[in-house]
Amino acid sequence: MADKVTVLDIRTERPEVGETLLEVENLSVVFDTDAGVVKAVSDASLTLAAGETLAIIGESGSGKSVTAQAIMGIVPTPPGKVTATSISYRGQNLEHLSESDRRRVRGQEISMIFQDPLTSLNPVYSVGFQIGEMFRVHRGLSRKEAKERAIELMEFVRIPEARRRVGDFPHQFSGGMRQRVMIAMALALNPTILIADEPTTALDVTVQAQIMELLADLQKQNNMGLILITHDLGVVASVSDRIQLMYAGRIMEKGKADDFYASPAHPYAHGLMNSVPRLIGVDERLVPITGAPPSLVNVPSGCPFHPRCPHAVDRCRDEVAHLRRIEGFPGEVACHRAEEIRD
Amino acid sequence: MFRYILRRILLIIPTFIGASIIIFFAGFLLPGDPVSAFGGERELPENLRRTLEERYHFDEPVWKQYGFYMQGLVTDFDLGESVLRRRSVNSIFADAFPNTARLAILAVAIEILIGIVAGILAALRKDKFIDQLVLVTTTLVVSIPVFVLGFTAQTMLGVQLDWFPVAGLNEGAYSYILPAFVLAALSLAYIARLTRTSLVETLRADYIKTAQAKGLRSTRVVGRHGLRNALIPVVTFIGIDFAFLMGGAIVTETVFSIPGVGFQLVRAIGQRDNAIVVGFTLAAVIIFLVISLLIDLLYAALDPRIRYE
Ligand SMILES: Nc1ncnc2c1ncn2[C@@H]1O[C@H](COP(=O)(O)OP(=O)(O)O)[C@@H](O)[C@H]1O
Ligand SMILES: [Mg+2]
Repeated sequence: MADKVTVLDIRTERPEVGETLLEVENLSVVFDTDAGVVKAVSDASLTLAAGETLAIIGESGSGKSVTAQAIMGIVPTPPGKVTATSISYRGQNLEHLSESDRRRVRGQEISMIFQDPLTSLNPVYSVGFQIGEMFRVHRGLSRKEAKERAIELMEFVRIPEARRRVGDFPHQFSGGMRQRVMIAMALALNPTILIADEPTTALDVTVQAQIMELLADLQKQNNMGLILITHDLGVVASVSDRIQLMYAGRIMEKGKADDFYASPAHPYAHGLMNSVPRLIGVDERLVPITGAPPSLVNVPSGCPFHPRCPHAVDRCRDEVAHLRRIEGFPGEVACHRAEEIRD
Repeated sequence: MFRYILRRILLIIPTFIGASIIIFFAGFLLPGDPVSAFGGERELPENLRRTLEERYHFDEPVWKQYGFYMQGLVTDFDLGESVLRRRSVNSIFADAFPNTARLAILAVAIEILIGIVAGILAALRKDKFIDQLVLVTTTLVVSIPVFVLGFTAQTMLGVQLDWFPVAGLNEGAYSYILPAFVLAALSLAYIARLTRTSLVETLRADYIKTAQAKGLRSTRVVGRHGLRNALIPVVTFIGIDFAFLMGGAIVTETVFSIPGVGFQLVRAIGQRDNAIVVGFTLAAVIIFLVISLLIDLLYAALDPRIRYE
């Protein structure tokens, strides 16, 4: 197996643990579609520091992937429209960068892996080509040099027989191995931030744990900031430092992961916890949230969760709840009735 | 890969046998007696008639005739003989084929050049002016029958404006341009549509998001990652179209009086010269099968998922 960090691209400086890498303020993304305006993300903010793992949790369709795409700068526009007070990477507002500078950040500073590694890899190119492309395009290496680097990276993410398999195509690998290829590609240029959008959702349960372990391991080796996106509370419980809970494009709760898992504040979080069997005590009954997540074309007025919320009052219908601190809770929550519910 | 090629080659044999039986028997059933046709208006003397019948096995049952024919085809690549023209079908075909091939190659080049470029532009400017223009133009082309298009082009650009030769091959390469455009028109429209649809679809694929996330230039995202995938069905269509055109363009060759395979075939049908009809049709089938085999191999080269099946 290749020696740890030496395989990755050499960088003159790495951020120190705790340095703020990413600050997103008041991000909103809308899509102009035939069915109407889709409010995919509304007024979401987040920060990420080096060496830290932030989990973004929410049901499918809550705007997690679009948030990630907005950070990467790959939201298709049109139909999409991205507005934000700022999206800054190490103090530099990405929105003010020229397209070519922004491209330099993508893949080299901030990189991303996706949910389904089969469809996310190009079927007509070998995995070696796709990993090596990072070095060829961004570092100007020759085809041969890039292939050698690809083999090293494949060994680095623990793909067996890397040298023999470097010319194989994505469909010749198992799901787990494909996701390792994606990870190798994303880590090729030693980015400071990795965004993993549901990296294990398409994989078998046994493989899921291996991939999570690999990600956590790689992160420790080079102080990466890691954003883990998931709809599965269970997957990220053990690896995340902080969480942000999303619903209908809004952040409903944020805080330390330990606090969240011990005792979440938002009624939506309660509902989610109750629908995850392994997180509740034996004598508690499983009560899934009633109703379906709202369509983002017609987001409910006020707090978007109010139609499904057992605690909803008139105010919830009329007034958007913003994230705020409440007494006796270490995180922040977007709920008008948070205090009453906690008592 | 090897098994894929082998399977593909083996498939050709039953296809060819089936096609040859149909063509041969259909040719046999066509009205007209080649021996009497040989004499034209005059009645043939009995002994000459018998000699001819024996020489060409016309006195044998049809399945035996088929056997003789196939034997000649397989051993000597002999397509038979036209009693009427007193020439071997092979030599008539050899005269006609180069004209058809030149026309087909030029037509396919036009289809590729204009069709694919128009399709790419339409896809990249989806729902914008160029896209609408391509949509309207291709719909128009598709809805006009080839012979109408051919006669119109001939009358306007050939006769009235005198930009192109009206018919025939007297002006060398230049004579092929107008017929090639007419021949290409329909497939060109189809290729433009197919390229557009396929590219629009491909650009929605997850691996395009990956390519963008890798920080690649948009030209590389579209060209390397998008087009390479989007063109797979287009290349297949072009291949089949080319294979088909190499068998002769009946309408276009007739309208522009180009003495190619299609032109000769029409003439032979008019003269009830079944030897040419059968021979030419079989030759077209062979050309089609061989080219489409090559296309399938190309397809496998383009799409690794097929190669390793
Ligand atoms: N390119 C797009 N065009 C239109 N709507 C989109 C597009 N991308 C995402 N959306 C919409 O944005 C909403 C949020 O999607 P997404 O961020 O993918 O949710 P998830 O939390 O499951 O990742 C969904 O309603 C989705 O339909
Ligand atoms: Mg998603």
